[in-house]
Amino acid sequence: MSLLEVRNLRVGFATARGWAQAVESFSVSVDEGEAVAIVGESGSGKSVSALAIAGLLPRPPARIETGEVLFGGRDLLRMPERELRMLRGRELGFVFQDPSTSLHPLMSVGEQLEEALLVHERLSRAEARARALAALAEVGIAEPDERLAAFPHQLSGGMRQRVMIAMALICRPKLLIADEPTTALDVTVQAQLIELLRKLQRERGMAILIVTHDLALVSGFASRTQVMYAGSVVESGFTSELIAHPAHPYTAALLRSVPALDDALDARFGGIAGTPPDPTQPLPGCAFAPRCAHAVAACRERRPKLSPLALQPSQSGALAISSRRVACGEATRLLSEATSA
Amino acid sequence: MSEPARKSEWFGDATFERVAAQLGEPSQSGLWADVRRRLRSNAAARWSLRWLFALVLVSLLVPLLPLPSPAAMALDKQPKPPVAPWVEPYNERYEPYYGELNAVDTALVGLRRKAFGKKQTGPWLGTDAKGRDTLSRILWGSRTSLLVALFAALTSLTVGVAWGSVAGLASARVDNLMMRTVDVLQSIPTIFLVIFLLSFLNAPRPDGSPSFVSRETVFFLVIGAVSWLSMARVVRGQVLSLRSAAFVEAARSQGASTGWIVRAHIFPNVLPIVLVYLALTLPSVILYEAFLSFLGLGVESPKVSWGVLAADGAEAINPLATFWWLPLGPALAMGATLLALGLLGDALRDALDLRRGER
Amino acid sequence: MSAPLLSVSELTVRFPARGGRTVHAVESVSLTIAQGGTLGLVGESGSGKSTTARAIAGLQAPTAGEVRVDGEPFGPRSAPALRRRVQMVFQDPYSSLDPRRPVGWSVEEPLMLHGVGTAAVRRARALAALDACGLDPRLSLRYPHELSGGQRQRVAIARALVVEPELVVLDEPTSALDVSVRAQVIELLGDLRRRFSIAYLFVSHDLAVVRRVCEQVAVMYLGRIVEHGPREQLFKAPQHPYTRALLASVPTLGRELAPPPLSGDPASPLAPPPGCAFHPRCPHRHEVADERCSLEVPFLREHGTSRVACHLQATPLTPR
Repeated sequence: MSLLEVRNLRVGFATARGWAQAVESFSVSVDEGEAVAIVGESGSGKSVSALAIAGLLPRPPARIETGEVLFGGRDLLRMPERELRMLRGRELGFVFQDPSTSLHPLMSVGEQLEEALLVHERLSRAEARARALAALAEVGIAEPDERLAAFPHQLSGGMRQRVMIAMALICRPKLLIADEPTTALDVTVQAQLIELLRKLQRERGMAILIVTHDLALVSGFASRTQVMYAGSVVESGFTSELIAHPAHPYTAALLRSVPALDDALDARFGGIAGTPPDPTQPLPGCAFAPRCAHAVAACRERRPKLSPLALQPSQSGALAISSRRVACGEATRLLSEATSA
Repeated sequence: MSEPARKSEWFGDATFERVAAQLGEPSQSGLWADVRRRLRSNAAARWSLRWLFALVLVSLLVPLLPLPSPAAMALDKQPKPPVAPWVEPYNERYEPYYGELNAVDTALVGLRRKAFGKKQTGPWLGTDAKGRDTLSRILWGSRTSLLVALFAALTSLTVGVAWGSVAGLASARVDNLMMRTVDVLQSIPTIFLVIFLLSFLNAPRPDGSPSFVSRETVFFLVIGAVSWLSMARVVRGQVLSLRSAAFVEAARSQGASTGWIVRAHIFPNVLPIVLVYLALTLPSVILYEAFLSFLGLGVESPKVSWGVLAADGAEAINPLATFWWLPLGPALAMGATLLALGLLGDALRDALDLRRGER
Repeated sequence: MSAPLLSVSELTVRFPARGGRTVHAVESVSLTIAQGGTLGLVGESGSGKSTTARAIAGLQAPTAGEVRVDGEPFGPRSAPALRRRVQMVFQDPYSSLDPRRPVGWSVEEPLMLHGVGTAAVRRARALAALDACGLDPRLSLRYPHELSGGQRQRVAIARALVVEPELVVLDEPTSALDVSVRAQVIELLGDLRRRFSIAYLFVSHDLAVVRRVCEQVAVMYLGRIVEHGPREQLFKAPQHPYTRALLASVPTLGRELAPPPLSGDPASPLAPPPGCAFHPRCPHRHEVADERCSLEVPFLREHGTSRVACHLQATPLTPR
């Protein structure tokens, strides 16, 4: 059984302009010790999904309409707030995008780290301090003794994000949810943090659910990837296979939009014309259809469901694609066109 | 370098002149139409505006209405409880004594006498201990509150906005000097200042001549000195943040003068905040007037204000009889006005917020 | 040889900071951009790349050194006719447009300020500029909050182009945009350059984007240029240890992540380390004799087609 199993999560917000369907349908499963990535652009609902899983969405204005979040067999959505808070500290860690706003500005790093231990594990002050020191050392902070007394504003962005990770990890959770953990950071610091997350996953067997807009970042890190667009998962599968043979037109277009250090300079890269649909005005058909180069009439009428990719017999031998799910009626045709070309 | 020639090469396509003519003028009206639409769709804002509009109208035209004079007394009487309009719709006891009136009001009262003669409404809201009609006094008293509000609004809009803008745009040194001035003025305990000025100015002179400065003048001077201070702060803060906004930098890099930046960018962006702030600060000025009048430091008899009426009402309360109609009327009128201004301010803030409902 | 369009020599910008300290934002930066050339300025936060861009665009007076456009001294006090030739596009498309003006007005504003033509001519020209940036002229009547981030950035580019500049300074123009939109804006920038032969100074932390847009690339670290050269050279055979680390840190699609080449964070520009500012993080500093890296500031020296500021340069690094 999976460590985390999210089924049919549906989340909306009451806004001044009406009901905004931020997450239309979201499902994910994370096994123990596995790293899974949720990839999407702004407005895709990836962060809202992550916050909803951890019970961190402010309700209202948000409302979780349907779905269940099974973590170790218990449904987090139906758990009393107090129990959930305890669980969040102990078994489920969360790292936010912006470290500067999620640390308490008037508490020293040490106090914030020790607080979790005092609450959740009932350790003595001295024991908590020793654990806090070890946690800072583990996330690669030099001179942890001195940093323990520092306040968040005295640290650099990378250092603050490391402290956030140390806080999320201090009670040794089974699952870490990281919402764009490196977006605010420089590229050399980002490389260090991703390496840190990888090390924690390998050495502790900790499962990681990482939410990001950067496909390249997770391509060497997460074993499985789910791509989100306009509140729905449009494609999911093994990361390397997904990058090699994207089946959903959105995934393919997104991959073409990522500039790399070694691609040909004369090749145009497309980008995707248009903008995502307004979440207060959902479309009847596929949400990507208005921007899709391959859309047919049926795409605009009926919304495709996320379903296993049906490969033609000729393809299944040539393409190594397993357990791929796609929300596109034309996926099989497009994939065969792409591979034959 | 032949610049004009090069220019036409880039964007000299004549088709766009036709497109431009078709599209019409880009105007500010779009934005304000949007604000009006949002205000109209807000029920609280609609009712607040109706109330304030009615209040202004009535207070302007109150001499024309067939009301008893607010100053005409009937000394032999006790406070009379309210009489329902259908019991005593009107009587013919009108006495045209108003104390001092200005020329316009005298003319309006003249018109009223021509139209209604000796007819006047009955004591629908009762009378006070001196037999004066409460309804009439509340309506005449609204003039004081509104006048004070108007005066404070004008001071805020002129002195406050100008002071704040200049401080926000000037060098750090001038800014510092101007804002410290505001600090000093704000730290003056105004109540003591008013008491001091009044006792000084109203002290009996050796030659027995009357004081040349009325209480009202002192009162307005103090309101004037105090009411623009917080507006100056708000405007300065806004101007400071706008001054370094990227769109202002972009204009400046094209050689835009300070005048241009103020007219084109700072003014339109500060105006909404000024309006909201005005609506939200006027209640405190109205309350301040009522408070001073309540203490007996405000307007002088025979003029009335809601504060004076409330004080009279409170005074009339004794263990034997409450005369509840005396404080109730002015309290309700003032409460409704303050609430209307507060609701309107909130509604304005919502309506003027462009980013509302985004992201 | 004709004079370069832009020449910056020994540009230094320092700001006073709290507690009597000084922010060493830019230190002795020299560079040139030819007519129609493209230079990418790459660096992490605190490298001084944005301050350099602002000084070049005439928004920031230098503490020392000078900026020349077409041989004439250029700065915040230059005549509007000269300033017209250098335009800037800001990072944040949300704050760079006046929220209470229709975007068409914002594009027209530079023309009004430079006193170009009649109102009708200006409006037509603004619409043509919007059209050139791939926006429907009807959008000119909309307000910034009604447009998407990508559309806003196109408006900001149109505003820079409408006065027909020779150099456009782009300060992280794509970093606030989504991946799919970013790709489109980059393509647009390429098209506009080919069409109008404008020169770009492109400031970014995104190496892959800079590689797409710029023929020349300069890498900055803590206020100084550490390596400057043609794109082929810099991306294929980076010389400075920092450039190499930066390139190795960029994640690549479908490739296993390399171990992080650097540890620690860049130092603060409030207290740049003595000597080579990179030396506390440099994996090669022990290969240079006499602690030279921590004592002596390395200067940019010719190295093939590039210029590199590294004491190791006497014994050049072999490409991996």
